[in-house]
Amino acid sequence: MTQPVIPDVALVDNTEQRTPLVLVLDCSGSMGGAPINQLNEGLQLLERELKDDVIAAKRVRLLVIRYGGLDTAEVVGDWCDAMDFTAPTLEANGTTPTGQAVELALGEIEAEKARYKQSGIAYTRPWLFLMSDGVPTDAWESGAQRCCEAERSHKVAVFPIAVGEGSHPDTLGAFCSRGTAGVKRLAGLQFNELFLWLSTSMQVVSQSKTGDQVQLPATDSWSTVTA
Amino acid sequence: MAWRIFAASAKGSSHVAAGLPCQDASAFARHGEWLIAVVCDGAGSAASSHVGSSRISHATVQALTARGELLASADHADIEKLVTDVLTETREALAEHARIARTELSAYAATVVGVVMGPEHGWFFHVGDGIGVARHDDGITLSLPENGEYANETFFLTGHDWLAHLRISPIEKPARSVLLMSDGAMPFVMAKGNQALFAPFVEPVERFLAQADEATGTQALAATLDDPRTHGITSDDKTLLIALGD
Repeated sequence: MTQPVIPDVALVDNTEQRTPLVLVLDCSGSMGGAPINQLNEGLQLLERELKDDVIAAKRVRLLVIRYGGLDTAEVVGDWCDAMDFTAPTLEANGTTPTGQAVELALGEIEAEKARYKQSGIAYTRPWLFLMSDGVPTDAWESGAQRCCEAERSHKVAVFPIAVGEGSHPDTLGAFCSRGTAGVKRLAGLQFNELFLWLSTSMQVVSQSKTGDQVQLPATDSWSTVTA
Repeated sequence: MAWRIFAASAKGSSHVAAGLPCQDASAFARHGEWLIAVVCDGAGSAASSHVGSSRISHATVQALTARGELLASADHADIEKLVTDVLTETREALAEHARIARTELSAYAATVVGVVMGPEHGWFFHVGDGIGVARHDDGITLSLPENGEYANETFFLTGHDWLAHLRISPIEKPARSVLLMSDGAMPFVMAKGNQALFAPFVEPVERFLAQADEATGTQALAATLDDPRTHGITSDDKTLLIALGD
């Protein structure tokens, strides 16, 4: 026998919880051609997947930072909820100012957190997703150190992704608290698989609650094992 | 004063999908005119947190009920001692259970939100998240969740620093109803900002329960918490305990 629900009950979501995600994307000249195309496709997939999850669509907040050009790091668009996110079409050119891009991302994250605090909105730990196919061309050391410290003090979770043969996992490792061991290497140009994983991870994190550790999906679909 | 008590838990969609047990639990008892109730939420990351939440809620209510004759004349300091003693015993029993099962106490991590409420006054006791609400003729008394900086982090009775996170707050007026809930139920039971109950949910529920016997009311509450509409709100387990005074 199934008991009917209590009549006339409103069931709506009154939480205002956010999971911030900053994508810091290498758009240097070496990303030209197939890599940038696949990256753009991956971003579109991320958009679709997040919008398809009713809870993640409301809770995940995205910001895209591209770096390239003449040692330029810039915000593409503004922070937005996943339900309002439109994947940008990025172009590849120029150098690899990884340090500058990460400094910009850390500043944006703290500003966004301050806005949540001011509005009384609860949030989960922000993610900084750092993708690069090359070696930094700017004075990256202080940015890397700041990023690493931010992760150690629990301000942000950093996910460095090394793309292609020209990337330098040891340098990317300097941006996260686990060092080179924390760097994932993208197998070939499996950007779709990478962004599918990111979307699934965001769905898990945005809906997580009591518990210190979140079980993220496996990365085998897109990462190669680094010894 | 006689309390009528309705408590139900529903598994969250993520727990259904992953084949996990419901990690929330509740327990309640009456001691004369006093209501004694606890809701626990087991940590998603802890392997046996469903065991922890069940054991903690039941053991705590049982131990408080056994000392129920102390409640009527207790002042704040007495309640602090009583609750601290009871939770310490509960935690030690759980640690013993963990030793026998050759596992860590942290495998049973769970939050606690509880209440002892008499005809004129009472107290909430609380470790971690979840919410307690006492509804008075004029206004409410709240026991709010304690999270870390991040919404998905909280404190557990099994934590080594649990005593630093134990909060005991007085309810200084008679209550016509008392609600305890796990954090999975908060998004639709509480209004935005968690400073008030969400009337479009709570009013129809209390109206229905006021006219139902405990068995029917409890079943209807369980069905409501399990409504597919909740899956668009949270993927977490949901527990709600409502005690109605007369």
